[in-house]
Amino acid sequence: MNEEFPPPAPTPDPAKGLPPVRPPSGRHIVQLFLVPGLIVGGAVAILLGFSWLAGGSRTPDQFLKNIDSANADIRWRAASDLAQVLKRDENLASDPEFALRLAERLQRALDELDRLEQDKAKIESTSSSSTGDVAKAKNALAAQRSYVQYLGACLGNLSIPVGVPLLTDLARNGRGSDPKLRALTRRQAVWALSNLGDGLKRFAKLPDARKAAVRRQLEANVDTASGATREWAASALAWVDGKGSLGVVQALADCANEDRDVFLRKQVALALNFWEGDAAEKTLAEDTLLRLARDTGRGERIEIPEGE
Amino acid sequence: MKSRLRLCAMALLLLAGCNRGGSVPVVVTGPKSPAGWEVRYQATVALARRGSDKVKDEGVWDNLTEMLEEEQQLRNFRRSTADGKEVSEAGAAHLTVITALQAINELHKKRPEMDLTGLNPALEKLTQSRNLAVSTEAKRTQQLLSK
Repeated sequence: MNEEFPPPAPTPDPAKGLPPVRPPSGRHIVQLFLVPGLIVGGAVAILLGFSWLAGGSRTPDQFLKNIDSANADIRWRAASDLAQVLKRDENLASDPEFALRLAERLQRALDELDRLEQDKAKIESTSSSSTGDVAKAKNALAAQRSYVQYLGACLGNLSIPVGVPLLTDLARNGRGSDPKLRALTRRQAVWALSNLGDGLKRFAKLPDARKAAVRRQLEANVDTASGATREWAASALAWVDGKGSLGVVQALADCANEDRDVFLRKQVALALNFWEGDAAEKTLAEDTLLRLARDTGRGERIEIPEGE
Repeated sequence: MKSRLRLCAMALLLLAGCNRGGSVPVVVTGPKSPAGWEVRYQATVALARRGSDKVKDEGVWDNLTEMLEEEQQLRNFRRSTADGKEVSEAGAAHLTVITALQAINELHKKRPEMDLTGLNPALEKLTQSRNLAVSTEAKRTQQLLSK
Protein backbone atom coordinates (compact mmCIF):
# COMPACT_ATOMS: atom_id res chain seq x y z
CA MET A 1 0.00 0.00 0.00
CA ASN A 2 2.84 2.35 0.89
CA GLU A 3 4.32 1.74 -2.53
CA GLU A 4 1.13 2.94 -4.20
CA PHE A 5 0.45 5.93 -2.01
CA PRO A 6 3.77 7.41 -0.79
CA PRO A 7 3.56 10.14 1.87
CA PRO A 8 3.13 13.59 0.38
CA ALA A 9 6.44 15.22 -0.26
CA PRO A 10 7.00 18.95 0.19
CA THR A 11 5.61 20.79 -2.82
CA PRO A 12 8.44 21.24 -5.27
CA ASP A 13 8.77 24.29 -7.48
CA PRO A 14 6.65 23.93 -10.64
CA ALA A 15 8.63 22.36 -13.44
CA LYS A 16 9.63 24.65 -16.17
CA GLY A 17 6.98 24.95 -18.93
CA LEU A 18 4.02 24.12 -16.63
CA PRO A 19 1.53 26.87 -15.61
CA PRO A 20 1.59 27.93 -12.00
CA VAL A 21 -0.99 26.28 -9.67
CA ARG A 22 -3.78 28.68 -8.72
CA PRO A 23 -6.98 28.20 -6.66
CA PRO A 24 -10.12 27.77 -8.88
CA SER A 25 -11.95 30.96 -9.77
CA GLY A 26 -15.72 31.47 -9.64
CA ARG A 27 -15.89 30.94 -13.38
CA HIS A 28 -14.15 27.57 -13.03
CA ILE A 29 -16.66 26.50 -10.39
CA VAL A 30 -19.55 27.48 -12.70
CA GLN A 31 -17.99 25.55 -15.57
CA LEU A 32 -17.40 22.51 -13.39
CA PHE A 33 -20.76 22.31 -11.64
CA LEU A 34 -23.37 24.53 -13.26
CA VAL A 35 -23.03 23.30 -16.84
CA PRO A 36 -23.09 19.56 -15.96
CA GLY A 37 -25.89 20.35 -13.51
CA LEU A 38 -27.95 21.95 -16.27
CA ILE A 39 -27.36 18.97 -18.55
CA VAL A 40 -28.41 16.47 -15.86
CA GLY A 41 -31.38 18.66 -14.91
CA GLY A 42 -32.51 18.79 -18.53
CA ALA A 43 -32.27 15.00 -18.85
CA VAL A 44 -34.27 14.51 -15.64
CA ALA A 45 -36.92 16.98 -16.85
CA ILE A 46 -37.27 15.07 -20.13
CA LEU A 47 -37.62 11.77 -18.24
CA LEU A 48 -40.20 13.25 -15.88
CA GLY A 49 -42.07 14.68 -18.84
CA PHE A 50 -42.23 11.27 -20.49
CA SER A 51 -43.34 9.54 -17.30
CA TRP A 52 -46.00 12.25 -16.81
CA LEU A 53 -47.25 11.69 -20.35
CA ALA A 54 -47.22 7.90 -19.91
CA GLY A 55 -48.74 8.20 -16.45
CA GLY A 56 -51.73 10.05 -17.82
CA SER A 57 -53.50 6.73 -18.29
CA ARG A 58 -52.68 5.56 -14.76
CA THR A 59 -55.69 7.06 -12.97
CA PRO A 60 -58.35 4.63 -11.72
CA ASP A 61 -60.93 6.11 -14.08
CA GLN A 62 -58.63 5.78 -17.05
CA PHE A 63 -57.87 2.18 -16.16
CA LEU A 64 -61.57 1.40 -15.96
CA LYS A 65 -62.17 3.26 -19.21
CA ASN A 66 -59.53 1.18 -21.01
CA ILE A 67 -60.85 -1.99 -19.41
CA ASP A 68 -64.29 -1.12 -20.77
CA SER A 69 -62.94 -0.45 -24.26
CA ALA A 70 -64.85 -1.99 -27.16
CA ASN A 71 -61.52 -3.16 -28.54
CA ALA A 72 -60.76 -6.56 -27.00
CA ASP A 73 -56.99 -6.07 -27.30
CA ILE A 74 -57.08 -2.72 -25.47
CA ARG A 75 -59.24 -4.36 -22.78
CA TRP A 76 -56.92 -7.21 -21.95
CA ARG A 77 -53.77 -5.11 -22.26
CA ALA A 78 -55.21 -2.56 -19.83
CA ALA A 79 -56.04 -5.36 -17.40
CA SER A 80 -52.51 -6.74 -17.83
CA ASP A 81 -50.93 -3.32 -17.09
CA LEU A 82 -53.20 -2.79 -14.13
CA ALA A 83 -52.23 -6.16 -12.62
CA GLN A 84 -48.63 -4.90 -12.49
CA VAL A 85 -49.50 -1.41 -11.20
CA LEU A 86 -51.56 -2.86 -8.33
CA LYS A 87 -48.50 -4.61 -6.95
CA ARG A 88 -46.88 -1.25 -6.23
CA ASP A 89 -49.67 1.30 -5.82
CA GLU A 90 -50.89 0.94 -2.22
CA ASN A 91 -53.73 3.43 -2.59
CA LEU A 92 -55.14 1.83 -5.71
CA ALA A 93 -54.68 -1.68 -4.30
CA SER A 94 -56.73 -0.76 -1.23
CA ASP A 95 -59.40 1.30 -3.02
CA PRO A 96 -62.74 -0.46 -2.29
CA GLU A 97 -64.68 1.41 -4.99
CA PHE A 98 -62.13 0.50 -7.62
CA ALA A 99 -61.90 -3.09 -6.38
CA LEU A 100 -65.67 -3.53 -6.52
CA ARG A 101 -65.82 -2.08 -10.05
CA LEU A 102 -63.11 -4.57 -11.08
CA ALA A 103 -64.99 -7.47 -9.53
CA GLU A 104 -68.16 -6.45 -11.40
CA ARG A 105 -66.18 -6.41 -14.63
CA LEU A 106 -64.75 -9.86 -13.97
CA GLN A 107 -68.25 -11.18 -13.32
CA ARG A 108 -69.45 -9.74 -16.64
CA ALA A 109 -66.33 -10.97 -18.43
CA LEU A 110 -66.96 -14.52 -17.21
CA ASP A 111 -70.51 -14.42 -18.52
CA GLU A 112 -69.20 -13.13 -21.84
CA LEU A 113 -66.59 -15.92 -21.90
CA ASP A 114 -69.38 -18.48 -21.58
CA ARG A 115 -71.28 -16.84 -24.41
CA LEU A 116 -68.24 -16.71 -26.71
CA GLU A 117 -67.47 -20.35 -26.03
CA GLN A 118 -71.01 -21.32 -26.98
CA ASP A 119 -70.77 -19.18 -30.13
CA LYS A 120 -67.53 -20.88 -31.11
CA ALA A 121 -69.01 -24.34 -30.57
CA LYS A 122 -72.06 -23.36 -32.65
CA ILE A 123 -69.93 -21.99 -35.49
CA GLU A 124 -67.69 -25.07 -35.49
CA SER A 125 -70.68 -27.41 -35.66
CA THR A 126 -72.36 -25.50 -38.50
CA SER A 127 -71.31 -26.93 -41.84
CA SER A 128 -71.83 -23.62 -43.65
CA SER A 129 -69.32 -21.78 -41.48
CA SER A 130 -66.21 -20.62 -43.29
CA THR A 131 -62.70 -21.05 -41.88
CA GLY A 132 -62.66 -17.27 -41.45
CA ASP A 133 -65.72 -17.43 -39.17
CA VAL A 134 -64.13 -20.18 -37.10
CA ALA A 135 -60.85 -18.25 -36.81
CA LYS A 136 -62.72 -15.09 -35.81
CA ALA A 137 -64.65 -16.94 -33.11
CA LYS A 138 -61.42 -18.52 -31.83
CA ASN A 139 -59.65 -15.16 -31.69
CA ALA A 140 -62.54 -13.53 -29.85
CA LEU A 141 -62.53 -16.37 -27.32
CA ALA A 142 -58.75 -16.17 -26.86
CA ALA A 143 -58.86 -12.39 -26.27
CA GLN A 144 -61.70 -12.80 -23.76
CA ARG A 145 -59.76 -15.56 -22.00
CA SER A 146 -56.76 -13.23 -21.63
CA TYR A 147 -59.04 -10.49 -20.35
CA VAL A 148 -60.50 -12.82 -17.72
CA GLN A 149 -57.02 -14.02 -16.78
CA TYR A 150 -55.68 -10.51 -16.20
CA LEU A 151 -58.81 -9.27 -14.42
CA GLY A 152 -58.49 -12.24 -12.08
CA ALA A 153 -54.82 -11.35 -11.57
CA CYS A 154 -55.86 -7.76 -10.74
CA LEU A 155 -58.23 -8.98 -8.02
CA GLY A 156 -55.38 -11.15 -6.71
CA ASN A 157 -53.02 -8.19 -6.56
CA LEU A 158 -55.29 -6.08 -4.36
CA SER A 159 -54.67 -5.63 -0.65
CA ILE A 160 -58.34 -6.07 0.26
CA PRO A 161 -60.23 -9.35 -0.29
CA VAL A 162 -63.07 -8.00 -2.43
CA GLY A 163 -62.39 -10.59 -5.14
CA VAL A 164 -62.40 -13.64 -2.87
CA PRO A 165 -65.98 -14.85 -3.58
CA LEU A 166 -65.37 -14.70 -7.34
CA LEU A 167 -61.91 -16.23 -7.19
CA THR A 168 -62.91 -19.08 -4.88
CA ASP A 169 -65.85 -19.89 -7.16
CA LEU A 170 -63.51 -19.89 -10.16
CA ALA A 171 -60.96 -22.02 -8.31
CA ARG A 172 -63.60 -24.61 -7.44
CA ASN A 173 -65.52 -24.73 -10.69
CA GLY A 174 -63.51 -23.08 -13.45
CA ARG A 175 -65.33 -21.91 -16.52
CA GLY A 176 -66.22 -23.36 -19.87
CA SER A 177 -66.95 -26.84 -21.18
CA ASP A 178 -63.50 -27.35 -22.67
CA PRO A 179 -61.44 -29.33 -20.08
CA LYS A 180 -58.30 -27.34 -20.90
CA LEU A 181 -60.03 -23.99 -20.51
CA ARG A 182 -61.59 -25.20 -17.29
CA ALA A 183 -58.24 -26.36 -15.92
CA LEU A 184 -56.57 -23.12 -16.96
CA THR A 185 -59.14 -20.86 -15.30
CA ARG A 186 -58.98 -22.92 -12.10
CA ARG A 187 -55.19 -22.72 -11.99
CA GLN A 188 -55.25 -18.98 -12.63
CA ALA A 189 -57.78 -18.45 -9.85
CA VAL A 190 -55.69 -20.47 -7.36
CA TRP A 191 -52.64 -18.48 -8.41
CA ALA A 192 -54.55 -15.22 -7.86
CA LEU A 193 -55.60 -16.47 -4.43
CA SER A 194 -51.94 -17.15 -3.58
CA ASN A 195 -51.05 -13.59 -4.50
CA LEU A 196 -54.03 -12.23 -2.60
CA GLY A 197 -53.05 -14.16 0.53
CA ASP A 198 -49.65 -12.54 0.36
CA GLY A 199 -51.08 -9.15 -0.66
CA LEU A 200 -53.45 -8.92 2.30
CA LYS A 201 -50.39 -8.45 4.51
CA ARG A 202 -49.97 -5.07 2.77
CA PHE A 203 -53.27 -3.94 4.27
CA ALA A 204 -51.91 -4.42 7.80
CA LYS A 205 -49.05 -2.05 6.97
CA LEU A 206 -51.32 0.79 5.81
CA PRO A 207 -51.66 3.88 8.04
CA ASP A 208 -54.63 3.76 10.41
CA ALA A 209 -56.28 6.70 8.64
CA ARG A 210 -56.20 4.78 5.34
CA LYS A 211 -57.57 1.64 6.98
CA ALA A 212 -60.43 3.67 8.45
CA ALA A 213 -61.17 5.22 5.04
CA VAL A 214 -61.24 1.75 3.43
CA ARG A 215 -63.61 0.54 6.14
CA ARG A 216 -65.93 3.52 5.62
CA GLN A 217 -66.08 2.97 1.89
CA LEU A 218 -66.84 -0.73 2.30
CA GLU A 219 -69.54 0.08 4.83
CA ALA A 220 -71.06 2.62 2.44
CA ASN A 221 -71.18 -0.02 -0.28
CA VAL A 222 -72.82 -2.52 2.05
CA ASP A 223 -75.50 0.12 2.72
CA THR A 224 -76.04 1.30 -0.82
CA ALA A 225 -75.03 -1.47 -3.24
CA SER A 226 -77.15 -4.47 -4.13
CA GLY A 227 -76.74 -8.03 -5.31
CA ALA A 228 -73.29 -9.54 -5.66
CA THR A 229 -71.53 -6.19 -5.18
CA ARG A 230 -73.08 -5.84 -1.75
CA GLU A 231 -72.06 -9.39 -0.83
CA TRP A 232 -68.46 -8.78 -1.91
CA ALA A 233 -68.30 -5.55 0.10
CA ALA A 234 -69.86 -7.25 3.14
CA SER A 235 -67.38 -10.12 3.00
CA ALA A 236 -64.41 -7.72 2.74
CA LEU A 237 -65.82 -5.56 5.55
CA ALA A 238 -66.12 -8.61 7.82
CA TRP A 239 -62.47 -9.41 7.08
CA VAL A 240 -61.38 -5.83 7.86
CA ASP A 241 -63.26 -6.08 11.18
CA GLY A 242 -61.67 -9.46 11.92
CA LYS A 243 -65.05 -11.20 11.85
CA GLY A 244 -65.92 -14.25 9.87
CA SER A 245 -63.92 -16.40 7.51
CA LEU A 246 -63.29 -15.60 3.88
CA GLY A 247 -63.59 -19.30 3.06
CA VAL A 248 -60.40 -19.44 1.06
CA VAL A 249 -58.86 -22.33 3.01
CA GLN A 250 -62.03 -24.40 2.49
CA ALA A 251 -61.97 -23.59 -1.24
CA LEU A 252 -58.31 -24.60 -1.49
CA ALA A 253 -59.02 -27.80 0.45
CA ASP A 254 -61.78 -28.58 -2.06
CA CYS A 255 -59.38 -27.94 -4.94
CA ALA A 256 -56.84 -30.29 -3.33
CA ASN A 257 -59.38 -33.09 -3.90
CA GLU A 258 -59.08 -32.53 -7.65
CA ASP A 259 -57.99 -35.91 -8.97
CA ARG A 260 -57.39 -34.98 -12.57
CA ASP A 261 -54.99 -32.05 -12.43
CA VAL A 262 -51.65 -32.60 -10.65
CA PHE A 263 -50.59 -29.04 -11.35
CA LEU A 264 -53.67 -27.62 -9.63
CA ARG A 265 -52.85 -29.63 -6.49
CA LYS A 266 -49.30 -28.29 -6.58
CA GLN A 267 -50.63 -24.74 -6.79
CA VAL A 268 -52.99 -25.39 -3.90
CA ALA A 269 -50.02 -26.46 -1.77
CA LEU A 270 -48.27 -23.23 -2.73
CA ALA A 271 -51.34 -21.10 -1.97
CA LEU A 272 -51.66 -22.62 1.50
CA ASN A 273 -48.35 -20.95 2.35
CA PHE A 274 -50.23 -17.65 2.41
CA TRP A 275 -53.54 -18.42 4.11
CA GLU A 276 -53.76 -19.01 7.83
CA GLY A 277 -57.38 -18.45 8.93
CA ASP A 278 -58.92 -19.24 12.31
CA ALA A 279 -58.12 -22.31 14.43
CA ALA A 280 -60.47 -24.59 12.48
CA GLU A 281 -59.04 -23.34 9.18
CA LYS A 282 -55.49 -23.89 10.40
CA THR A 283 -56.34 -27.51 11.14
CA LEU A 284 -58.03 -27.87 7.76
CA ALA A 285 -55.04 -26.30 5.98
CA GLU A 286 -52.54 -28.58 7.71
CA ASP A 287 -54.66 -31.70 7.10
CA THR A 288 -54.92 -30.72 3.44
CA LEU A 289 -51.16 -30.15 3.22
CA LEU A 290 -50.49 -33.49 4.91
CA ARG A 291 -52.65 -35.18 2.28
CA LEU A 292 -50.80 -33.32 -0.47
CA ALA A 293 -47.45 -34.22 1.10
CA ARG A 294 -48.39 -37.86 0.45
CA ASP A 295 -49.61 -37.22 -3.09
CA THR A 296 -49.00 -40.05 -5.54
CA GLY A 297 -49.29 -37.96 -8.68
CA ARG A 298 -52.68 -39.50 -9.51
CA GLY A 299 -54.71 -38.30 -12.46
CA GLU A 300 -53.68 -37.15 -15.86
CA ARG A 301 -51.42 -34.25 -16.60
CA ILE A 302 -53.43 -31.58 -18.34
CA GLU A 303 -50.78 -29.94 -20.47
CA ILE A 304 -51.71 -26.53 -21.82
CA PRO A 305 -49.30 -25.46 -24.57
CA GLU A 306 -47.86 -21.95 -24.53
CA GLY A 307 -50.19 -19.51 -26.21
CA GLU A 308 -53.38 -21.45 -25.50
CA MET B 1 -1.89 -1.74 -7.97
CA LYS B 2 -1.06 -5.27 -6.87
CA SER B 3 -3.80 -5.16 -4.25
CA ARG B 4 -6.33 -3.96 -6.85
CA LEU B 5 -5.40 -6.79 -9.17
CA ARG B 6 -5.73 -9.23 -6.30
CA LEU B 7 -9.20 -7.81 -5.50
CA CYS B 8 -10.32 -8.14 -9.15
CA ALA B 9 -9.02 -11.70 -9.30
CA MET B 10 -10.94 -12.61 -6.14
CA ALA B 11 -14.15 -11.06 -7.49
CA LEU B 12 -13.81 -13.01 -10.72
CA LEU B 13 -13.16 -16.23 -8.79
CA LEU B 14 -16.24 -15.59 -6.67
CA LEU B 15 -18.38 -14.99 -9.73
CA ALA B 16 -17.02 -18.11 -11.39
CA GLY B 17 -17.55 -20.03 -8.15
CA CYS B 18 -21.26 -19.16 -8.13
CA ASN B 19 -21.60 -21.15 -11.28
CA ARG B 20 -19.31 -24.05 -10.50
CA GLY B 21 -20.68 -27.07 -12.30
CA GLY B 22 -23.75 -25.15 -13.41
CA SER B 23 -22.72 -24.04 -16.87
CA VAL B 24 -22.34 -27.49 -18.40
CA PRO B 25 -25.53 -29.58 -18.25
CA VAL B 26 -24.97 -32.88 -16.47
CA VAL B 27 -26.24 -36.03 -18.19
CA VAL B 28 -28.76 -37.60 -15.83
CA THR B 29 -28.54 -41.21 -14.71
CA GLY B 30 -30.90 -42.81 -12.25
CA PRO B 31 -34.63 -42.56 -11.62
CA LYS B 32 -36.73 -39.56 -10.72
CA SER B 33 -38.61 -39.55 -7.43
CA PRO B 34 -41.99 -41.39 -7.57
CA ALA B 35 -44.80 -39.52 -9.35
CA GLY B 36 -46.29 -36.56 -7.53
CA TRP B 37 -43.03 -35.30 -6.08
CA GLU B 38 -43.75 -31.71 -7.19
CA VAL B 39 -46.97 -31.69 -5.15
CA ARG B 40 -45.33 -33.45 -2.19
CA TYR B 41 -42.41 -31.03 -2.12
CA GLN B 42 -44.61 -27.95 -2.28
CA ALA B 43 -46.84 -29.25 0.52
CA THR B 44 -43.84 -30.16 2.66
CA VAL B 45 -42.38 -26.68 2.29
CA ALA B 46 -45.74 -25.15 3.21
CA LEU B 47 -46.01 -27.31 6.35
CA ALA B 48 -42.47 -26.34 7.37
CA ARG B 49 -43.12 -22.65 6.79
CA ARG B 50 -46.25 -22.83 8.90
CA GLY B 51 -44.23 -24.41 11.70
CA SER B 52 -46.52 -27.43 11.71
CA ASP B 53 -45.99 -30.50 13.92
CA LYS B 54 -46.89 -32.55 10.88
CA VAL B 55 -43.41 -31.98 9.45
CA LYS B 56 -42.33 -34.90 11.63
CA ASP B 57 -45.10 -37.15 10.25
CA GLU B 58 -44.29 -40.17 8.20
CA GLY B 59 -43.76 -39.20 4.61
CA VAL B 60 -43.36 -35.48 5.22
CA TRP B 61 -39.99 -35.86 6.95
CA ASP B 62 -38.87 -38.18 4.15
CA ASN B 63 -39.85 -35.52 1.62
CA LEU B 64 -37.84 -32.91 3.48
CA THR B 65 -34.69 -35.04 3.59
CA GLU B 66 -35.18 -35.98 -0.07
CA MET B 67 -35.37 -32.31 -1.01
CA LEU B 68 -31.96 -31.87 0.60
CA GLU B 69 -30.42 -34.54 -1.68
CA GLU B 70 -28.77 -32.52 -4.41
CA GLU B 71 -28.16 -35.53 -6.67
CA GLN B 72 -31.81 -36.58 -6.47
CA GLN B 73 -32.94 -33.06 -7.39
CA LEU B 74 -30.61 -33.10 -10.38
CA ARG B 75 -32.35 -36.33 -11.42
CA ASN B 76 -35.85 -34.90 -10.83
CA PHE B 77 -35.33 -31.75 -12.86
CA ARG B 78 -34.31 -32.91 -16.29
CA ARG B 79 -34.95 -32.19 -19.93
CA SER B 80 -34.26 -33.97 -23.18
CA THR B 81 -31.69 -32.54 -25.56
CA ALA B 82 -31.85 -32.60 -29.35
CA ASP B 83 -29.60 -35.68 -29.44
CA GLY B 84 -31.96 -37.61 -27.16
CA LYS B 85 -29.89 -37.33 -23.99
CA GLU B 86 -31.47 -36.40 -20.69
CA VAL B 87 -29.66 -33.59 -18.93
CA SER B 88 -30.34 -32.00 -15.58
CA GLU B 89 -31.74 -28.51 -15.10
CA ALA B 90 -29.28 -27.47 -12.42
CA GLY B 91 -30.91 -24.10 -11.69
CA ALA B 92 -34.30 -25.59 -10.83
CA ALA B 93 -32.69 -28.44 -8.88
CA HIS B 94 -30.60 -26.11 -6.75
CA LEU B 95 -33.55 -23.79 -6.21
CA THR B 96 -35.49 -26.72 -4.76
CA VAL B 97 -32.67 -27.48 -2.33
CA ILE B 98 -32.40 -23.82 -1.31
CA THR B 99 -36.18 -23.56 -0.88
CA ALA B 100 -36.08 -26.57 1.45
CA LEU B 101 -33.22 -25.00 3.43
CA GLN B 102 -35.12 -21.73 3.79
CA ALA B 103 -38.25 -23.60 4.87
CA ILE B 104 -36.16 -25.38 7.54
CA ASN B 105 -34.91 -21.99 8.76
CA GLU B 106 -38.48 -20.73 9.06
CA LEU B 107 -39.57 -23.92 10.80
CA HIS B 108 -36.78 -23.53 13.33
CA LYS B 109 -37.68 -19.87 13.93
CA LYS B 110 -41.32 -20.78 14.57
CA ARG B 111 -40.63 -23.98 16.48
CA PRO B 112 -37.18 -23.70 18.07
CA GLU B 113 -37.97 -26.63 20.38
CA MET B 114 -38.51 -29.05 17.49
CA ASP B 115 -35.69 -31.57 17.15
CA LEU B 116 -34.24 -31.21 13.67
CA THR B 117 -30.92 -32.96 14.34
CA GLY B 118 -31.96 -35.71 11.93
CA LEU B 119 -31.24 -33.25 9.11
CA ASN B 120 -27.62 -32.73 10.16
CA PRO B 121 -26.01 -35.36 7.86
CA ALA B 122 -27.83 -33.95 4.82
CA LEU B 123 -26.90 -30.38 5.80
CA GLU B 124 -23.27 -31.34 6.30
CA LYS B 125 -23.18 -32.86 2.84
CA LEU B 126 -24.74 -29.75 1.30
CA THR B 127 -22.08 -27.50 2.83
CA GLN B 128 -19.66 -29.31 0.48
CA SER B 129 -21.85 -28.63 -2.58
CA ARG B 130 -20.10 -27.44 -5.71
CA ASN B 131 -22.84 -24.83 -6.04
CA LEU B 132 -21.88 -21.80 -3.98
CA ALA B 133 -25.45 -20.65 -3.31
CA VAL B 134 -26.41 -24.10 -1.99
CA SER B 135 -23.34 -24.47 0.19
CA THR B 136 -23.74 -20.95 1.60
CA GLU B 137 -27.40 -21.49 2.44
CA ALA B 138 -26.59 -24.87 4.00
CA LYS B 139 -23.94 -23.28 6.22
CA ARG B 140 -26.38 -20.58 7.24
CA THR B 141 -28.97 -23.21 8.14
CA GLN B 142 -26.39 -25.16 10.14
CA GLN B 143 -25.54 -22.01 12.07
CA LEU B 144 -29.19 -21.20 12.74
CA LEU B 145 -29.97 -24.72 13.95
CA SER B 146 -26.96 -24.77 16.25
CA LYS B 147 -28.17 -21.65 18.13
